[in-house]
Amino acid sequence: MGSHPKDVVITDEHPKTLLYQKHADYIVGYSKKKDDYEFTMTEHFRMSGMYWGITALDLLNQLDRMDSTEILDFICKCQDKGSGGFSPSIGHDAHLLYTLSAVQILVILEALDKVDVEAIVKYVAGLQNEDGSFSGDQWGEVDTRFSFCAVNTLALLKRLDAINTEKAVEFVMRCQNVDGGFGTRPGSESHAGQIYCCVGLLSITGQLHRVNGDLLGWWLCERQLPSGGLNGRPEKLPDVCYSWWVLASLTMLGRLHWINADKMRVFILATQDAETGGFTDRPGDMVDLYHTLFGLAGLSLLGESSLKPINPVFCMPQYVLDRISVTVQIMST
Amino acid sequence: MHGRLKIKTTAEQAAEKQKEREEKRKLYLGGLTKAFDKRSTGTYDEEGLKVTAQLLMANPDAATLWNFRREIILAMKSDDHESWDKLLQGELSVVENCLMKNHKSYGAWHHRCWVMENFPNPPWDKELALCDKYLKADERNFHCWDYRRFVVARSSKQPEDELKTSQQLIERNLSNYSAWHYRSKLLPLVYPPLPDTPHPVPENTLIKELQTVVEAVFTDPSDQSPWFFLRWLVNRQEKNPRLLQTGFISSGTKDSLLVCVFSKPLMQQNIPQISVDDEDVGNNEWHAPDNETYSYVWVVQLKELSEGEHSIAISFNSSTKKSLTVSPGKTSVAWMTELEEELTGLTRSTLEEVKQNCITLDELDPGNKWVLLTIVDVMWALDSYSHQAKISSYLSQLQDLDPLRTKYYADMKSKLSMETALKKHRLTTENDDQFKLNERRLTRIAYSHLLACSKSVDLSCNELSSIQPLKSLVACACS
Ligand SMILES: [Zn+2]
Repeated sequence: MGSHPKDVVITDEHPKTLLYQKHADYIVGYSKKKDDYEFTMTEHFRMSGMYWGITALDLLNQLDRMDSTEILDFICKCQDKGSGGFSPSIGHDAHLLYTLSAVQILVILEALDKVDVEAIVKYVAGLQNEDGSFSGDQWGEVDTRFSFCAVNTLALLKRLDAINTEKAVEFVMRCQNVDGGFGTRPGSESHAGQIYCCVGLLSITGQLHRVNGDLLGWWLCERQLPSGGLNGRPEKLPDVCYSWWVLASLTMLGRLHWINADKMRVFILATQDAETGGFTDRPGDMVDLYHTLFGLAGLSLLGESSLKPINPVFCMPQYVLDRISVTVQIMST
Repeated sequence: MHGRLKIKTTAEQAAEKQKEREEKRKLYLGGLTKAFDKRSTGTYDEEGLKVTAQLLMANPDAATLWNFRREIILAMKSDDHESWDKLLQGELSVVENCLMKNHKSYGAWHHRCWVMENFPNPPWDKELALCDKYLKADERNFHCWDYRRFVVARSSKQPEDELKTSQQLIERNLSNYSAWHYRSKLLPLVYPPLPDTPHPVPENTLIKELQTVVEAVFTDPSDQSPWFFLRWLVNRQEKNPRLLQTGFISSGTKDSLLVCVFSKPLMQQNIPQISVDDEDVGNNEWHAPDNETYSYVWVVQLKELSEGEHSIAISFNSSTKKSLTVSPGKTSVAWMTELEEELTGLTRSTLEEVKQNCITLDELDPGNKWVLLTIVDVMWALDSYSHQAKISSYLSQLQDLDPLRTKYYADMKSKLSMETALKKHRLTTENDDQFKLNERRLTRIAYSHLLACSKSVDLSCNELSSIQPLKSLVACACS
């Protein structure tokens, strides 16, 4: 006991304060390096990349540095005329993952009128299966992440009536495990990312009472390692994206205080790259937009005052959800 | 995007790397253009398969390329069994090459599922061998575990066989959480639980599993995974909501409330049939505090009652009925069942054994948080009331031992304090509507629904940060 072979060491070399401006510059700079190898190799999830960057910039109060005309033009080109869904990039196929990202950006930029909303609703509803689950696209991959994407998208569009939410909830409950967590499909092992999706779905649909808050809350707070970082499953390495999946889930369960926030903050700050700006998965790795958003989002949930407050379910700035009057359920303890 | 170490390089190395990546980028973009061109012209040929295979080797998560491959394969499908089989076999090799590049690629694993479902006679045995191979390389790869479940569900493999597999994997490495998880899923399939018991498996299986896992934690108490499994076995799993309390809150003939408190939140339509003097209370007459759809507490305002005794009858089903006698102006609260479901004598004695074993383990290897957590759970499961002082002191030890989660343990102490206060209140002053919870260092109000029938709750001098749960105090509100 006491030894944690699967953890990292944080030293004085690692950043201790929030490198606010560096992150904003990193995000703005990223979208300008279109000829980079990395930019090319991430084209297949570009829409999500844009959502990560835009949300992060908004949290940093610098959304106005993005060229919203260029962004909206790109998004419009990605709506598939046939299915109504959004592709990650031009030439790629529509998928629920990128449909959610597109809708999130459109809601942040107040530009839903630029796209065919009815077609999006039809696309999402068409992907619900008989058992209540959702396929990611017409090729049939089922995953509770996709259930969350569907419910999240329709909640933002205020069209949850288009699907059978009762069945969607039933399916998610079939993915619950004895440790209180949730997995990809019935039978799958609990995983913090999947838990975030399932608890988020239950929060949106007002069904959080189906979760045993003490049991799942305990499993989630057990993700914190001596370094302060959180892992996504027992006996795994910590990773900054889990600070979001776990902290957001604990917030929904009304149990965020079950982890040590000071140590969590130290870990997240240590994953910043002082040279390039941006956050990495673990101290000393390469930065990317994904970990940059989830690093900032985690800090925001912990109450970092220089960042805009974030909504734990939608992972969007709270003011955006207030603006469209979308509320979520938080468990009372 | 995970685990890419940042390496310090000289300017020369950086330039070299840049050149190399630029070449790779051009090659990738060239292939992508070619593939997209073919697709847009509806050209489904061998070359398309070749180009996409190369691209996917470089980037197995590019979903659209897998989609294109599937379109090509379907276009090339022939009635000839042998050539169709060969085509699909080719796909399996492509997937395997991509998995070698990234064994956690969603796209590659999904493509494998798709291919297998298209085989006229799917070679499931080979797939099980593939799972064994990948789980040997990474025993926690949840993509491979999910694929294994996919294969098992379609092959002739029985849950019993898989239970043996989980056993072998656990024996190979006790800290294989995925294998313990698999076991927790298989056990209830092989040994279906009996209705109306708080356990996930029948008693004899439960006892056998408890003994085996205790043996495992004795082998190496620092492995976390078996402890999670043990906690699951020790704790009760309540399946259906039970009616815990019925309260008749009355200040006179014209003002009487009937309150029902359940062990789990339920909907209005699921409230059992209740009648007052043989007249049924309609389901839609019940309301929940805060108008919640799912609630632990349901309340109905009764119409005027005459002086004297009245009878309230509750039917849970056709065979189980309970009744109580009430009088207007006199509040009475009745417990309908125990706070938690009863354990059988055999389970009880096994849990006692587990408790003794863990106490021994704590003496041999002091300061192991998992041992202490398990003692807490077992004592709690056996009888929280008589073990209160001990459990509380173990929770204090845990706070010192595991400072990251000190507030979790504080909340558990509060839960324990509340639970024992409720039990004590019930034992000594069942009908006293004064409930004292002051000076208990409570950080939260657990079981707040069980305060619903109390006319006065003293929560002074605690460490509460939220009184939101107090919304269920309907009796306080009415008096
Ligand atoms: Zn990560």
